Amino acid sequence: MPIMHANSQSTLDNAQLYCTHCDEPALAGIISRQDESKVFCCVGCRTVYEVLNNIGLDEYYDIKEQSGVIRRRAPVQISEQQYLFLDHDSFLKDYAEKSDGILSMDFYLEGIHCLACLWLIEKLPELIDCVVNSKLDMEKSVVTISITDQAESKFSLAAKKLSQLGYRPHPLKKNQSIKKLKQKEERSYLLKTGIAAAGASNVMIYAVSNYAGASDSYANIFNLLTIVFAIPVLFYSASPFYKNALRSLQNKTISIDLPISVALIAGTFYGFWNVIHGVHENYFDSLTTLVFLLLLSRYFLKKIQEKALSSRDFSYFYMGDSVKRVISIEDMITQEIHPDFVAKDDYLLIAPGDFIPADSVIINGQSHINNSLLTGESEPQRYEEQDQVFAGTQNISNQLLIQVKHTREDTRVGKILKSVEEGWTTKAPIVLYVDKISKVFMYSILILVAILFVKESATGGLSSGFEAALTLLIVTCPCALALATPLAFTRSLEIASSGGAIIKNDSVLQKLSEVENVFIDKTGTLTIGQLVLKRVDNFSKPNEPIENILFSLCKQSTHPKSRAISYYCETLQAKELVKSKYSEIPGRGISALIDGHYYRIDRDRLFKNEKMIAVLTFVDQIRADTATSVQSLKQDKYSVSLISGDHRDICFSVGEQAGIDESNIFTEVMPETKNKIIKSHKNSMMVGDGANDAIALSQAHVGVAVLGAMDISLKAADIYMSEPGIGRIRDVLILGKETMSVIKRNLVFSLIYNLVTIVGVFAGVITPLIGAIIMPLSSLTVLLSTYMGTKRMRALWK
Amino acid sequence: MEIILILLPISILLGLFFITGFVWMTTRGQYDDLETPKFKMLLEDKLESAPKENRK
Repeated sequence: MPIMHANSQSTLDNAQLYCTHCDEPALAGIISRQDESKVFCCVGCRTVYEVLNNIGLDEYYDIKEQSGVIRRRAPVQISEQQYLFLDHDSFLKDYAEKSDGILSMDFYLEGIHCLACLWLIEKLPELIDCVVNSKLDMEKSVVTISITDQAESKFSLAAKKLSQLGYRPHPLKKNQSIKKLKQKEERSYLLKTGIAAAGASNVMIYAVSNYAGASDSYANIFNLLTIVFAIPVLFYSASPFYKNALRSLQNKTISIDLPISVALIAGTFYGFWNVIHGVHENYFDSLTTLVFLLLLSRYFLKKIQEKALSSRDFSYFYMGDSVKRVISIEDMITQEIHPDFVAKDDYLLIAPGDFIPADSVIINGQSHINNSLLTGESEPQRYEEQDQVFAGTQNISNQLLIQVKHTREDTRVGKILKSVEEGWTTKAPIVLYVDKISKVFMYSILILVAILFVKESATGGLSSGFEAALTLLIVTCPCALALATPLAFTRSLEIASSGGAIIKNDSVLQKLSEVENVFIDKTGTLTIGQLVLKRVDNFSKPNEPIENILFSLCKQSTHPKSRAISYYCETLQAKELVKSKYSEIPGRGISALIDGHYYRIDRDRLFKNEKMIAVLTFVDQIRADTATSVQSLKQDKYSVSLISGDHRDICFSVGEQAGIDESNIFTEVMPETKNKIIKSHKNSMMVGDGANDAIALSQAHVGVAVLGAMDISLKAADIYMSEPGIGRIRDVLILGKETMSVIKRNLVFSLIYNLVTIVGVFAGVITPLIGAIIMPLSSLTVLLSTYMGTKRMRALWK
Repeated sequence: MEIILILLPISILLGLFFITGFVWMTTRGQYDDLETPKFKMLLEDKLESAPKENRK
C-alpha cells in the first residue's frame, strides 16, 4: 500500500517543479521548513536557502529571478569543512599576497552562474568583519578576497562562509610573474588591435578624399596625413606578423604571415617612395585595414579558445579540498593540509567519503573504493592492506591509513590529464590542408611577382616594373585565404558557446562533420539520472510505520538508492532511531539491529528478522525530450546506439522508450569493452557523463559530456553541453557540417578571387587604384559570408 | 574649401584624443575583465522586490 505523503506525491507527478535554489528538477520534493511553497532538489540547496533567509539576504532570489538564469548550476553539496589549513603560515606563503597591511587570496568558486551570485559574493565584507574586499571575475569564476593583516583575520572564516552559501571555494596558487606576464600580453594585443582600428579608419578618411579627387595641394596634405596615421599601425600594430614571419624564416618554413609581412613592408616602402616623388596613390588604406581585420579575427579566436582552455588549476577535482596528514604515527595525531602539500612517503588518514589525493599504498584498514574516475566502473571495489589505491578515487566504507607513493603529475590520473591536455592544441585537418594550399599559392605568387617584375622592367623601365610587382603582391595578398578558415571556426565556436555548448577546438568542428554513429550513455543522459523512490509497498502485519526504520538504515549511506530512501523519508519527517551492529556491504545491502529486531535492506527489499516486509520501487525517469531527439537524429541518417553498464532489462526498457533499435543496444558493458565497441565503429560520437565515462569520451572520435563539472569534462571530452540531455546533440552535429560548408565556400571564393586578380594584373586591367578597392572587398566578402553562415546555421539554438 | 583648414586639425585632434583615451584605459586595466562589469551595472540600485511567486 502506498504510504506517500500527499504533498510530495504531487511533487513527483508534476514534473514542472524546479528547485528554488539551483533550478534543477526538484524530484525528491524537499520543502523548506520555513516556507511551504519553496521546493528543493536536495538538502544542500535547502540549507543554502535557509542560511540566506536567516542572514537577511533572500533578496538573492529576486535578483536571480529578474536576471534570468544564464548558466545551469549544479545542486549544492554541503561540506562540513573548516578550511583551517588556509591559516597556516606555510600555506599563506605560497597562496596569499600581502600589500599595505592587506592580505589577499584567489579562490576558484564552484557554482557561479548569474548576476545574483555576483551580488551575493560581493556582499561578503558585510557578513564577515575581517574581510575588506571581495571581487569576483565572472568569466573565470575567480574571487579575490582581501582581509586585514591581523591575528584574528582568517581566510578560513571567509572560505567557510562561501561554502555555506553554496559556492565551494578552492584556493588558487599565486603565481605573480605568470599572471603579470599574461596580463601584459593581453593588454598589448588589445592595444595593437585598437590602434589598428583607429589608424585604419583615419587613414580611410583621407584616402577616400583623395580618391574623390582632391586638388593637388590638398592631396599632398592628405597623403602626409595617411602616413602619419599609418605609421603606428604598420610599425606597432603589425609587429606580431613580422615576428611570426621572422620565426618561420628561422625555421625554414613558409607561414601565411610571411607574404603578409612582405606585402606590408613592400607596401610601406612603396608608399613612402610615392609620397617623396609626389605620386598620390599609396596603399596605406588597404594595408592598415588588412592589419586591423587580421588582428581582430585573431583576437576573437584567442578569446574563445581561452574560454575553453583557461589555465586553471584543475587538481582539486581529483584531490579534494583538504586532507588529514598523520604527524605522529604512534599517537595518530593529524593535521589538516591542502592536497598540494602532500609529499611522497607521507601518511594520510582518509575518512569514508573522502577522495584519495595521491597514488598510495594502504597501510592499515580495509574499505571499498569507488574507481569511477579512472575506470568508469560505478560499483565500489574492495581494497585491503598493501593494496595500491589511486588518486582521484573515492573511499567509501571505512577509514584508511595510507602512505603516499606518487603525487600530482606522477599519479595515474595526473598522467591521463596531461596527455589529454597535450591533445588540445591539435589543428583541424582542414587547417593543415589550407596551410598546404597557401604554401603552394605563396610560392607561385613569389615566382609570378618576379616574372612580372622582369617583364615590366624590360618594357617600361624599373619603376613601372616595381609598381606592377607590388600591385600583384598586394592584390594577391592571401588575406581572404588567411581569414577563410579561422574566421569560420571562430564564428561557429561562438555560436555554440552562446547556445551553451563549449567546443574544445577547431578540429572538433571538423570531426563533428564526419560523425556517423552516435553512442549514448543511459544514466543521466537519456534518463534524468536521479533515482527516486516512487513507491513503498508495505506488507507488514500489523501495518507498522517503516519510514523511521528505512531512514535510520540509509541515512549514513552514500549509495544512490540509500539517498533516494533518505530523501523520501525526510519529506515524511522521519526520525532516526537508535541502532547497533550497523554494517553496509556494497552490492549486498545494509543491515542493523533496531529496537531488538534485525533489519536488512537488500535488493530493493526490506527484511525484518529475515522476513520480507516491504518492497521499494525506484524509478529513473526518461527525459521528456529524449524520444523526439533520437527520432530527429535518426532522420538525419545517424545510427543511434545505447551503451551502458547497466542491467539488460533496464536498458531495453529505456531503449524502447527512447526509440533506439534493439540491435543498437549494448548492455552490461564493461568500461574496457565500451572503448572497443566505440572504436570498432567508424567516426563515432560518444555522449555521456563527463566524470564516469571519461575514458570512453576521450577514445571516441567526438566525445560529448552532458553532465559533471565543466572543467574536468573538457579534459576528457571534446564538447561540454551546459544543457542536460541529448536535445542539443543534433544542433552541434549540424553546426559541424555547416561550418565545413561555409569554409569550403570561403576557400573557393578567395581562390577564385586570387586567380582572377592575377590574370587581371598580368593583363594590365587592374590599376593600383582598383587593386586597393577590391583587396579589402575580398576580405569583407569572406567576413560577410562567414557571419551570415548558412540558413540551417542561423536556425540553430532558436 | 578653406573650411578644411579648420576641420582638418579638429578631426586630427579628435582622433588623437580618442586614441590617447583608449591607450590610457587599456594600460590601466579597464578592459581586463569584459564579463563582470556588464552585470555589475544592474546592481547599482536596490532592486524592487518582485512579487514572490513560484516558477511556472
